[in-house]
Amino acid sequence: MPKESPLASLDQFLAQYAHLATELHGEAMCARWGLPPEAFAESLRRSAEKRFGGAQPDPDAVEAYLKSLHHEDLALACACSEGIEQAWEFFIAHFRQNLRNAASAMLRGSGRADDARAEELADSLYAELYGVRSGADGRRKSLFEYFHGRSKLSTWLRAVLAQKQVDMFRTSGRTVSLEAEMEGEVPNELAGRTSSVPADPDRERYVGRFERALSTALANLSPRERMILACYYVDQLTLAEIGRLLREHESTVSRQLERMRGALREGVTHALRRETPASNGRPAEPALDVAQVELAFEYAVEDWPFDLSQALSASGPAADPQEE
Amino acid sequence: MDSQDRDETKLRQRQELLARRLGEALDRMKPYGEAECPDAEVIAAYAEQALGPAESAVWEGHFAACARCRKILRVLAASVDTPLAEKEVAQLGKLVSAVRAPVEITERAAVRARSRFVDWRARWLAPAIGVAAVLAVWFAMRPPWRATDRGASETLVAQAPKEEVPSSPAPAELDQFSNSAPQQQDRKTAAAPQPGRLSANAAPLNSPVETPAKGRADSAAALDKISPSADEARSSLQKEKKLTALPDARELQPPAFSPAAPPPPKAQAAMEAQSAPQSEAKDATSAAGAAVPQAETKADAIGSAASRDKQVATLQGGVQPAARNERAFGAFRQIQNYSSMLKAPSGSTLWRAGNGGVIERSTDAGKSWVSQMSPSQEDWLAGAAVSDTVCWMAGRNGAIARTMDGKLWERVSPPAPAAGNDAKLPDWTGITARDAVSATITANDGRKFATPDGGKTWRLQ
Repeated sequence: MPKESPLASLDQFLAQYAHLATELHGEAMCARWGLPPEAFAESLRRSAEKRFGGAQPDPDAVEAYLKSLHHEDLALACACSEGIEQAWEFFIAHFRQNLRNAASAMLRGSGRADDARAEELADSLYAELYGVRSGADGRRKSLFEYFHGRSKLSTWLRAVLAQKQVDMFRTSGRTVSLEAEMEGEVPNELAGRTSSVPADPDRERYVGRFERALSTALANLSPRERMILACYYVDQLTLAEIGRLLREHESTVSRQLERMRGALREGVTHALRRETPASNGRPAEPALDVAQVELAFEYAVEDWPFDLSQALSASGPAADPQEE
Repeated sequence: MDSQDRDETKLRQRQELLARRLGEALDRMKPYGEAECPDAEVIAAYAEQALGPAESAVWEGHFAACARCRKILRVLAASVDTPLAEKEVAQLGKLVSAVRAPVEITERAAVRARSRFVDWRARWLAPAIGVAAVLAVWFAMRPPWRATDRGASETLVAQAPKEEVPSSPAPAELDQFSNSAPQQQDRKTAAAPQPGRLSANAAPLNSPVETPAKGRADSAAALDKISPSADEARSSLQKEKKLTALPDARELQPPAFSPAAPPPPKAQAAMEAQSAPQSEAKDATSAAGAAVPQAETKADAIGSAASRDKQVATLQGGVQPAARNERAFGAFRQIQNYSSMLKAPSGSTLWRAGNGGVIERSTDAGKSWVSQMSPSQEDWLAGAAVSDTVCWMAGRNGAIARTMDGKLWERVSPPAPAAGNDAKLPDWTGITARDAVSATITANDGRKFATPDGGKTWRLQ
């Protein structure tokens, strides 16, 4: 029978980390809010439990993790969650401006900025932060309970606000479909294909090979590279915006993007020009020549989109199945 | 060569198209349900680069395929704090004065009700002052109207809130004066302060001292702008004051002080010590705190400040319109209860601070005031204005704050050893500062701590 995690309950947590919890209780200046050590220890336990899950964590890793938290912010969130008035007053005095600025900036980004809206958006969080009574026991569930001190409280609040704003924006149906956006740029290949051009009997084969080659090339990109790709081509962010998001200089992003594009093209071309052995019930396929590769690219663009879920779901660079 | 160029162009177009199509594919795929999206904390930690490389990579894989999360990250990145304009800060100051609003959802109904009322009044501070200023000018420019109402002045003064009344100069007495607020309230108009947290906190903070000083200075400034008719009015009012001020003052003196009254706060002394070189501000402050005859004596001796005192005393003593104006926004003064008036060496920049963490700044020698965002709701008890941009504040429960640009206040960590056995930090009743990083604070138990590095370290002196 597996040993229970020390993070499973407060008692077990305190049995192992009581000293650290006491130390962090002092460091977080919980006394300012009159926050009892048990309440703070419970928030530490919840944080560690969320980070390490139900697994048996390495005590050193847990200790390092707990020490790395934003303790003062965690204490404040915990005190607010407990409904301590003094903490709430401090929170509002300290973070209201922050929230309002963030709301204003977010609304500016969506072209709907005005003071009243920003204030409304920012203030809309308070009820959730305080928590509404729910459940059979009528216990209040404060949004603060979801703050575990991994980031600054101010950043977390902005993230919560951003989630709220984005979800509101998405549900309001203001998103423009990609098809509509691309309509002006990309000719309707389907219409062209159904014209008088005679169908190529090898078309399906080329497209199939292309899709597999592309999946492989894509899976070989790192998650960060895939994210850059999505930011650039899907979200239409500028290099500077991507750089800000990833905390990198735009020239670095530009270099990464260029390298990625080249790697994709070469990866796909290379895969197409190689003979592929039979696998997964698929017959062996001969290598394509330059002209056929050209055609494969053309057909692929016309027959887009492909289902790349499998390749993109991979958490990191994947092995080329063709090389197996 | 042409053929090579063509090929290269073709390749570039191909790779561009490929990448674009891949982007589209990323957008269309939904490998993760929204329930699997990272929570706000992970997103915030990612944005702060606080996640480890492995965890970052996992989530980046998600972000690559999740338009929602990318959008959230983008919005988050775009909402990084930017300093507010002064006007915005002023607006926020008013909003922050309504800080108790969310506290309303606590279960302490009684406290809530009082707080809400106080906040409601505070929100109207600006328009009320504006209206009062306009009324002051208008009243001052209409001597006949004033004359007809003169007979009622005693009554009006008697009804005025306590800060209109020349109060006793001794801090101890002031404390007791505050303690006797409930009895005072019987005499007050509707503008009387609420007996809630604010007014309770206000009690030891010498509210009658600073508040009228500000009001009088404002009123005097308004009168200064008025034509000769105002001067006439002023001189007649000065005469009138001699007849009315003292009796009024006596009439409104608080009842006998309770022997159990708390000791006088050191804040006022500390403030005065701080503002020693800042003669003008101190004049306004101390003269306001003094009894009217004392103010008059000072007035005779000190020139321009004295003339202001006279005007102040005049307005206070018996002029009904001014009394009305005082009454109109007296409530706000009581709420704010500035315990300190600080003047920068340049003379043009002043700060005042007090109960509930209120901080205001004037860059025109006190003619106009702008609320500033305070990093604490604790009462400020002492301060030190080092320059037009650097100022320190210290207050209850270990609160210390500093501004280095004159606008944004930041909390300064108090000395940890100052905390008692119960981990409670003391009240700071005095502060001196040399610059933005060197300061010495005095606790209510007499201990002094000095910092040479902006509060990072403190040394017991």
